[in-house]
Amino acid sequence: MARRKWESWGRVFVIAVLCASFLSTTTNGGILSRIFRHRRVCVPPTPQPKPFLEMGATTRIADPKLVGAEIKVSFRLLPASCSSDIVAEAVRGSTVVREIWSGTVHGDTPTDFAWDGKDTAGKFVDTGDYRIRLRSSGGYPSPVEAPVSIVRLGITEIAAQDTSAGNNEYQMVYFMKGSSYAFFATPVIHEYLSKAETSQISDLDLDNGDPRPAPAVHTTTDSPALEGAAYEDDSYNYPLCYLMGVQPQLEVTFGSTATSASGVAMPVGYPVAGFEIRAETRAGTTTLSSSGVIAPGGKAIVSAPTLPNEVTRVDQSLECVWQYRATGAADWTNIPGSATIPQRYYTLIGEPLFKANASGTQYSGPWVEVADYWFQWRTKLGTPITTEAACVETHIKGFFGQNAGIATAIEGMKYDCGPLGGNGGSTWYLSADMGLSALLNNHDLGVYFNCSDNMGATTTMLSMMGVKNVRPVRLGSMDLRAIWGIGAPGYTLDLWGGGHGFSYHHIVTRDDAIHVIDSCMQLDEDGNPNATPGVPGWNNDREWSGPNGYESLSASNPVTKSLETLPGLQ
Amino acid sequence: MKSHVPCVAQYLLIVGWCCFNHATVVLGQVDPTAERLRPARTLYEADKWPRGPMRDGIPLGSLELEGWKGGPLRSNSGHLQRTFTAGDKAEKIVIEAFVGDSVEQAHQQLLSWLAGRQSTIPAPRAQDRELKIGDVAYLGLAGVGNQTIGSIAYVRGNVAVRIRNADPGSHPNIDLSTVARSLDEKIAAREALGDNAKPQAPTIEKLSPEKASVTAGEVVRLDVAVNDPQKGTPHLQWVVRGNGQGYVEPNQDNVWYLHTTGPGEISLALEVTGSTGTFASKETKISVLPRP
Repeated sequence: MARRKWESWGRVFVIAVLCASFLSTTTNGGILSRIFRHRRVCVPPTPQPKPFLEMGATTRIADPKLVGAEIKVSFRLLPASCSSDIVAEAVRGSTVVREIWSGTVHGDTPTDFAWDGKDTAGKFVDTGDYRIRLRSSGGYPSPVEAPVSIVRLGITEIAAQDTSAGNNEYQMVYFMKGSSYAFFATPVIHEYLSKAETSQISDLDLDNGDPRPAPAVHTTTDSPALEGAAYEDDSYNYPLCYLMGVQPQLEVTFGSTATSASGVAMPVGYPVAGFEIRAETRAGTTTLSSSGVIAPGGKAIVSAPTLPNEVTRVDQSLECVWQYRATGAADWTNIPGSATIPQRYYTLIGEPLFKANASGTQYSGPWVEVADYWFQWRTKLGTPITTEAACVETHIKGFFGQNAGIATAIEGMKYDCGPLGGNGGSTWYLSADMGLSALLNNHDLGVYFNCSDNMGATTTMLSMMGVKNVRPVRLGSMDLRAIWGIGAPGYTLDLWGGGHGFSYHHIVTRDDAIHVIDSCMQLDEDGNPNATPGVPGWNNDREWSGPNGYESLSASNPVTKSLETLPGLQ
Repeated sequence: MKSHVPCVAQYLLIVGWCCFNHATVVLGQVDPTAERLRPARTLYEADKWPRGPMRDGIPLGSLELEGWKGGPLRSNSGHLQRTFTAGDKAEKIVIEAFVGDSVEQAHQQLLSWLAGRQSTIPAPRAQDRELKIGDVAYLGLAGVGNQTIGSIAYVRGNVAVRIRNADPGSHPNIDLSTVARSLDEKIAAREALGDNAKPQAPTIEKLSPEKASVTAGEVVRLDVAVNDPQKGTPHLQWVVRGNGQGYVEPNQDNVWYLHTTGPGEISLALEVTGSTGTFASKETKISVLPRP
């Protein structure tokens, strides 16, 4: 009995040893592996977590048609020990719109790329909801997705507003309509308009789906934008006018219509459910203003960069960006890209002033050409215009010309006297009103004018630029000393070529003739005003009385003076 | 008796002085315009100017001058202007005209032109150079030596005309006297009116907007009907007054429309210059509301 028990246990032992050795030769390429090979199971030698894709910060709302726009995607593959071939796609519904990116990624290293918002054909995709899908080309790890909403943003109208300081924004006036005379004031409702032409599909885009470019600044100074014989009414960008040193406040209107790349109307795609969008204006990295939540076709007040504290002209851009946040959240996120609108501003020394009770478009504000003349003169003379006195000096030297690189008098005008080819000092441009439009239209009524015409131009130009209390002064007869008349090559003691006196004269004042302004002639300050040549004595706010005064230097007789009222404009 | 004569003479002198100043004194206040013209009135003996018969006007807008191309007519409340250029556009003449309701108004305009001369040398009369133009005419002599006729200003009845060479220094050879005579003949050929008759002004028979109240940005059709007494083509000019803003232009069918561009009250004035230079105006009102 005992012998049989030991023989049984011995057979079991041998079988166990044989099994152990058999197993050790089959687990790695042996019989067991051959038995289980068809199941393709990755069986690690030790237990580890499965690889997976983790989405990082990804743009949630975007408008790819903004300048510099892109949809940013960030992700990583985990765990660190894994690697995989990944494909990124833009998907709408069940349709792959575009394969955005592909590559081999290694675990725990962030991967960043961007989608330009275009489809496989290179066209901008329509507005709407999309998903960025990341998947492995081998099917593992599992795909992940992030939503992105494509919207269409932009500004179609800008209306300049007064600031909280009061009436400091002004319309500007043109005096021609092409080659005809007509007054036109920059529209109060929008000095900037970027809208579809009558036959076009949408305001924000061209008919091929490309973004509609912002209209260029209208730089012509005598005539507004025209479409054939009619005033342009769809697309213009007129200069704006403010008091110097002001930060412009602009009411912008957001576009509400867009066009797809296939040439059909498409919605602008916002508001996006669960999100709010607002607009900001910036100057470089500085935020100038932030709006409230915006809606298509809605309006907001934004700030532009502060204007120079001098009378000048400045070209600057309005840079607008947009941001989004989840409704109720605190923090805003930038929508990539921006819209930049070129702008031109003219600044004044004060509120434009005109003849009392005068009414008509010509009195709506400063004339563009006048303001631009001041900018040209200021640039040549090199002196900033920060005071009314500087305004007057700039006007006198610029209007008269023949100094500081300003070759001629305004519009090439000359005093109307025989030696210069003119008549007997007649009044050609000033009648019931000052014919400033004809003067500025390349001296349409002739190249000669007299001091009444000068006075008419000077009073109205200074006043419309904001210089206060400007009035004409009518002088009586004058036995003239040496004078340098406008457009003349030098001083003379024989103005008429057989006479040297005025039956009357017209000059200007801004303090009831205590000091006077004369743009028609300059006086001789070399100490001998009865002889030529002369040393230019500019008549900007010259004292009437005194040894160096206007009366003393201009005439050898006592001269009467009487104040008159500001002329009107035509 | 002898002692009364000086008193009477003094009395007459006082009365005469008062009458002389009547033209420049109204209710104790000096009329600045009349005062400004008084020296010229004396210098040019305006009170002795001939008073020709009243005419119905001057067709400046339709005037054709041989060798010259006329530009568009400009009218500032009936003060007319039109430029003419020669074929190469370097030569230019400017014609101004005014049709008065009386001979005195035309004389006043001529006097205003003469008073606007700063030269102490009076403008010579055209007849002193054997130029017979208008009832009375004066020359503006230009250029070195003052030998070129740079301008001619004259009146023919109730019509005042001034013609000038825009640049006599560069173009001294323009024959203004021929132009002036040609124009004067056209005026003289017009029908003479009775001494107390006024030239007929155009009439504005209809001026009304399609809507009296609109929102800024809206376009309003204007119903307009104008009658020219001489059955010619009147010149229409629009003036947008008030604190509202807009502009007027015709559409492709020549229907007038007001395009509103800023809120406020607009007094829209239609100024009509008739084909012979007479003038009329009329206003209508439109309220322009702010955009919501």
